[in-house]
Amino acid sequence: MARYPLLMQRALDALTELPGIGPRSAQRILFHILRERREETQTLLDSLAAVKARIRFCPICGNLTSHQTCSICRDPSRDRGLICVVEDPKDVIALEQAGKFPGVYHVLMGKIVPLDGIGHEDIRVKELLDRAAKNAPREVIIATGSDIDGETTALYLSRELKAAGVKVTRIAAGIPVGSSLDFMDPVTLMKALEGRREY
Amino acid sequence: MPPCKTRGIVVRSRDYTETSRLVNFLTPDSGLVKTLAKGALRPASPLRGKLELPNYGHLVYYPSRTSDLHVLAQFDLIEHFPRAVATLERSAFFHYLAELASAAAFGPELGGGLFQLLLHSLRRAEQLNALPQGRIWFEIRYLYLLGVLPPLAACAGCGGPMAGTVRFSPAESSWLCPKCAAGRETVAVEPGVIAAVRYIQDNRLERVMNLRLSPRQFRTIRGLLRYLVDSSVEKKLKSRQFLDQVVRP
Repeated sequence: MARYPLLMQRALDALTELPGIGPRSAQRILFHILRERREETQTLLDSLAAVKARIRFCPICGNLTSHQTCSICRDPSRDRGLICVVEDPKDVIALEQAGKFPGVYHVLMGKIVPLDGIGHEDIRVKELLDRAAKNAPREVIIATGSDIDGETTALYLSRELKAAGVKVTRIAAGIPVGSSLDFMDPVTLMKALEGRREY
Repeated sequence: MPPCKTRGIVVRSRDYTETSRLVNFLTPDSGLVKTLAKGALRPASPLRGKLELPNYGHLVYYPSRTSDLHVLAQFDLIEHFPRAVATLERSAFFHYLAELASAAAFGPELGGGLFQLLLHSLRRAEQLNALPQGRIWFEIRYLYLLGVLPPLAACAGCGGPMAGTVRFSPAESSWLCPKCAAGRETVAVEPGVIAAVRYIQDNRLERVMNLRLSPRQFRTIRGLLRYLVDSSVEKKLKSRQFLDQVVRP
């Protein structure tokens, strides 16, 4: 049976370790790299190496940055009295793309998952409470997911923040824009009704 | 293979890939059913939003010939229990109940009893105003269903009535009178504890909610039940630590 040269096999094995990449995709990527010009491949390798070497987590909010602190925490026009709590740096990108949030963020780096034994001490809850105690924000918006673990995390944060005298709000849950009611599941509809507002 | 149809409570649901979820159901006729819900996280999926703990519904799945992971085809809600997860304490409580029930739901016989117990507890979520009592109520019934709750009526050694300070033998998982306990490794349990356990075993959840126990009785019962639960499930219950953190007697 024909086999790849050892160097190629190593590269294929490394690529298949990546999330969402199976053997066929790894093969496709590797052959694409082999076909490309050397400079293009070098650009890819350099950018990946630079990401690995220079991207770190912001010590204030936990967002991704290549500087001491992230661009949002450095921005003087941001409202520091308004903190939005999210699970993951990807959520910061999603909210920033919405383009309406004037405050700053706090990234938890996960969520409380009781059935996996992941508790508040495994995510950045202590940092949030310290930040709330130090900066006394006007409002903390909890924007964790609406799945059961996201809700459990929100309940926990709400309890702890309220005990510290902080106003806590939760992002609304309900019907996605552009969809009709007859395709909605009962749980989503119930949440949409609960979260209704004067119009 | 033809699809299987049954009812089930979601006892575990977690992301598998960017679009799929692994979902475990506690069912009345097949015990614990593990499924892969392909595409459940896609925006247009009919499964989206339904596969959350502790939703209860009709499920259709294609059984696997080679493993115990089946493919979920459909899930239609019968009931959902917003009150069961409305507060942090209740949410932690029902996470623990779901993990406990699924830890021992092997096969239809045991699975059926555990399914009924979990469903009954979920339907009474709003009456759970004293979670420590509710936890003891659930654990006692759970151990009874598993057949590991030592009989309370008489001494396991001589069959005589248990008066005064009785003793518990961890090795034999049984209650002994002081006479039979001589020379065996046992722990002393005051008579009030036996009476309280008997009361909880014999009464409905609503009545048990009003039961008042001294801190010492609470600690003793909790310690005994913890020992019996641990020795019967033979795995670390991950959600218990969270429950212990957020609910204190």
